[in-house]
Amino acid sequence: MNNRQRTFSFLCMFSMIFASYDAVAQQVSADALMKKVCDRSAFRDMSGELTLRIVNKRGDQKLRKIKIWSKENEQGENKMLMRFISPADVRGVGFLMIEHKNGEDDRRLFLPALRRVQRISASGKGGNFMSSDFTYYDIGAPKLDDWHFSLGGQTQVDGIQCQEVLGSAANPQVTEDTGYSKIRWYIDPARQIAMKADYFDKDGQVFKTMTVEKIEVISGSPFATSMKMEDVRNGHKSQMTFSKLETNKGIKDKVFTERNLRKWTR
Amino acid sequence: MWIGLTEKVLKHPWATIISTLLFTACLGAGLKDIHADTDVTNDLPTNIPAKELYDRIDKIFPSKEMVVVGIKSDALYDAKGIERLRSLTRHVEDIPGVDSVLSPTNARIITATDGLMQVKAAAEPMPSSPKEVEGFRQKLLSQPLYRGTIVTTDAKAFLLLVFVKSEAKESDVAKRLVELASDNKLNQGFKLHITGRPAATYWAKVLMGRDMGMLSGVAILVVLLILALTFRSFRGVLLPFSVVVFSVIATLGLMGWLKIPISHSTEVLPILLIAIGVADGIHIIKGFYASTRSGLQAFEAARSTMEDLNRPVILTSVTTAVSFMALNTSGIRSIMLLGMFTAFGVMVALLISLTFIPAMLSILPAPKYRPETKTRMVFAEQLAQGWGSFLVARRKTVFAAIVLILAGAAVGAYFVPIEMSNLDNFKPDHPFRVDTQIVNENFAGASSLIIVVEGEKPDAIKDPVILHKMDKLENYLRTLPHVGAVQSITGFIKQMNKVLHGDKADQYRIPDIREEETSTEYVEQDGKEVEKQISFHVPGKDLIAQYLQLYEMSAKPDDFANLVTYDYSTAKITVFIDTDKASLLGDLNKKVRSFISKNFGGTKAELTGMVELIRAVNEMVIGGQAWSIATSLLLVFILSSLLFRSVVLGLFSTMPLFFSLFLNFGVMGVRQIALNVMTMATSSVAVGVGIDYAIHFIHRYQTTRLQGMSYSDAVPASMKASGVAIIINAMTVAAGFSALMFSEFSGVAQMGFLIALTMVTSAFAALTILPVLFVTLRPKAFKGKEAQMEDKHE
Repeated sequence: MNNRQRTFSFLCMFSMIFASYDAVAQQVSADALMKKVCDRSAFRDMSGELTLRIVNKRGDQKLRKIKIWSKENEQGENKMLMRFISPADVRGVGFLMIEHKNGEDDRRLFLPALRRVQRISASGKGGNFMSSDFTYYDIGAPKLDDWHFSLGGQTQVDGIQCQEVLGSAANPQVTEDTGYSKIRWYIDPARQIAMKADYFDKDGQVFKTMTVEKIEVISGSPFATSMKMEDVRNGHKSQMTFSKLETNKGIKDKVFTERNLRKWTR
Repeated sequence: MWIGLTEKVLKHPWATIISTLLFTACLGAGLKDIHADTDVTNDLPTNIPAKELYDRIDKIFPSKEMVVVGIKSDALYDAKGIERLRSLTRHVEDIPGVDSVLSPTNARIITATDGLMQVKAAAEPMPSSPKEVEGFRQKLLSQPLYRGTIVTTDAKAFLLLVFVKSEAKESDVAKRLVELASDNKLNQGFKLHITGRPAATYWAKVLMGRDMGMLSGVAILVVLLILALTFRSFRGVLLPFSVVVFSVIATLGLMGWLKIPISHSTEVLPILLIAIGVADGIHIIKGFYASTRSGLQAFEAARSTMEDLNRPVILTSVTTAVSFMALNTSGIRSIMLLGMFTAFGVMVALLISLTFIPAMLSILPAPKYRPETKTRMVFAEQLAQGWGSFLVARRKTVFAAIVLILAGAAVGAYFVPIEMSNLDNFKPDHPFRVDTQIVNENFAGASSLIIVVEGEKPDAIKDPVILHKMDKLENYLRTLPHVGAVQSITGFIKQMNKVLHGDKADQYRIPDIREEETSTEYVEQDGKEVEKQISFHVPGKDLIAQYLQLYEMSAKPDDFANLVTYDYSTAKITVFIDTDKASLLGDLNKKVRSFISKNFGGTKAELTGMVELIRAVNEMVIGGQAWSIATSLLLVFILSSLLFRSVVLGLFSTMPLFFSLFLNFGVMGVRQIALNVMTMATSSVAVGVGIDYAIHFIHRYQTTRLQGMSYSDAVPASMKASGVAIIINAMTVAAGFSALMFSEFSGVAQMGFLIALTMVTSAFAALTILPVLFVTLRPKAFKGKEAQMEDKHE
């Protein structure tokens, strides 16, 4: 089991969809383009609110409001704290995750009903993030080593001419861990931001599609504040919307401790 | 009657022949769209709550049905075996149409050690040392969720539950698994016992294909043989036979056009049409030969034959069609379709018999005179005449004998089992039946009852009140006979409550509405942080919601997708049952329903699933049978009354039917043949076809009486004139139907036997009971002018 491949990297998600103004207006190779899209870190910390809306085939929806704090250290390891605001029965549930480059991530959940912190093991195929259609892998940037990239054609997405990049699983283990055999990204070359992505299952069929629904300029950089993941097989839709985003506010390390995780009273 | 039609046909024989062929070809083109559907549940009208819910489950849960794969093996006792099982599980997961697989290797095990809650597949990481293997087994067996469900208590046998995607074709998944079972490389050396509803549907489809070809072939051969023996001429064989072929092609073609699939009921349609449709042709050809024997040329012989026979041929066909239409009262879809399409096919056969046959006869050269045919016929006719005289002489004895037979049949009928079992429909040595029995004997059971608990608002299922109701129901279910195991979300919640409370056995329970919890808190005391034990009250609903949140953080949310809906408004309880016998399911159903109505107060819980639907079909069969018999009897009574313009004769026409129906149920009782979806069609055939013999005989007797014979003398005379034709007709139909006895399905084979029997008994009744009654009762309806005169002298 390669845990590195499944490492949650929340910051990376933002960097992946972050814009870069110094776009090189020349033909770049698929590898170079994806490296540019992924391999940057635009900020040290961020905080904000995440609204997660999950809708099933029948149209039933599940709504979650979560507060997020996130920070990256010098080694590029991420720490993240989440706190449920709603629904009421999970209000106050806290989730602390500390990434370790050389080992399993530390994941802890605080359950206010038991007033107890429960460590949870990071296992399963990528795992769905908060039971949404996004997996932990989806919201992290693709690990470049996991995929062999090749350039595809040009496609209009939301009126923007996008460059298709196809990533094929570098080895069967990647497919086993992520559930994907291929991913096709639609990159806006000017802003170096993925506008859309198609996810292929083990049979080579597209079964999930991610679309960026809204891009806002946060702290001077364009940022995807709303994105939707649709699972065409089960008709599920998940939408992540960020609000009240703030970056580089100098969040302290002690925010990401078990002690702080427990600090919640009704 | 209808002589106008005959004349037109004879005037334009080629046009008639070509139109017939065109008509058949047009309808027959629909054959390209014909397909099979062996799903018994499609039989139910959607207004039945269980059926409505069953259809709705597709939209609520990702999977509705599962293939149950049983394996007896020591694989769980060594690392290699576990590895093999894991490979097999993964291979099965990759089969298209599979939603998910629950196997001993991937079963989610919830554990808590040192404050670390883990939700992991049982075989993760793969055990390698004997100690790890032992640990793996203990882990699996320690989970009430899995012990006795997917793994036996001695771990020497285990199950793969293969959930089929709601939108996938379940029989395709079963087919892949059956293929996998015989692929010794891919099945990892395991002997797979494949059962569950998708497997039943798949095998039924396979067998039905075999049946359709084989049985039709046998029926065709039998009919050809009888025609050849009877007529010993090409036209005698080919003309009645082409009627049958055309009507089968046209009827199946129409089904194709209308996109109506062949079901386990309609699969007998070709044989029905072959057996029934040939009768008209036999009568016409026989009449034609008789006419040519009397010296008429082909054209004239055809005309006079049709003039004589149009009427009885039309009427016997109409009564048959009408009584098949009576199957519409059953409310069971496949039976209704069988009724309607048989009626259509019979009408097509009638039309072709009335047009195509005389047209062909008129253009073919006149047959050569055949003395040997005549001798044979004369001998048979003499026998019939002898039988008539015997009946008149010994009518009291005969009458007594019939009453005795009826009494015996009535006793037998009392013991007719009303039963339906998909499993029993397969032959005892069929792999599906063998596999299912193995699974039923070793595991929780291969059939499943689904109970859907609808909380009607989001998060309702997280409510301890509802969960307690579910838990109570599940515990009750476990005490009932034939219930092997029960699975629902409650097991996961209880397990989480346990692992989060020190893994204590008594904490394997659903939290109450309000719970007292204890924890440690860090408080500042004298400038230092110290641990302090605290205790507090918390709503059970919050506990449950947070358990579930905890679970969702560390595992796929799909884990619960088949147990509870996304919004936690609806939960599914799956009950494994080791039988699919409708009578046993009926008992279970009653108990469960009464428990729910007593204990669920306000919470909606509805039963569905295969076993519930089988039970519902069976219930409809019982009601439907009485209705369809009553309706068809009434209809043929009205028709024959109209035909004879006499209510009394109408009544007489139906009399032999009572005899054959009684005998049918009597034999069912004695042979313990169950009344079910298949055997219930027998009565309609009994009525619809059986009435023909009575009509033919009464028609002849009336003619004979009008010619001036006494009640007594008319019996042997009518017997001589009609008896042989009636017997040949009945024997042909019976022989055609007996082809069904070669069916792969016991239900169809029984139906074939019963129909064949009924043909014989109704012909016998027409040729025995009617003459005895006529001579004894001397009904006034038979008095013609001349006859009246003669009777005075009698």
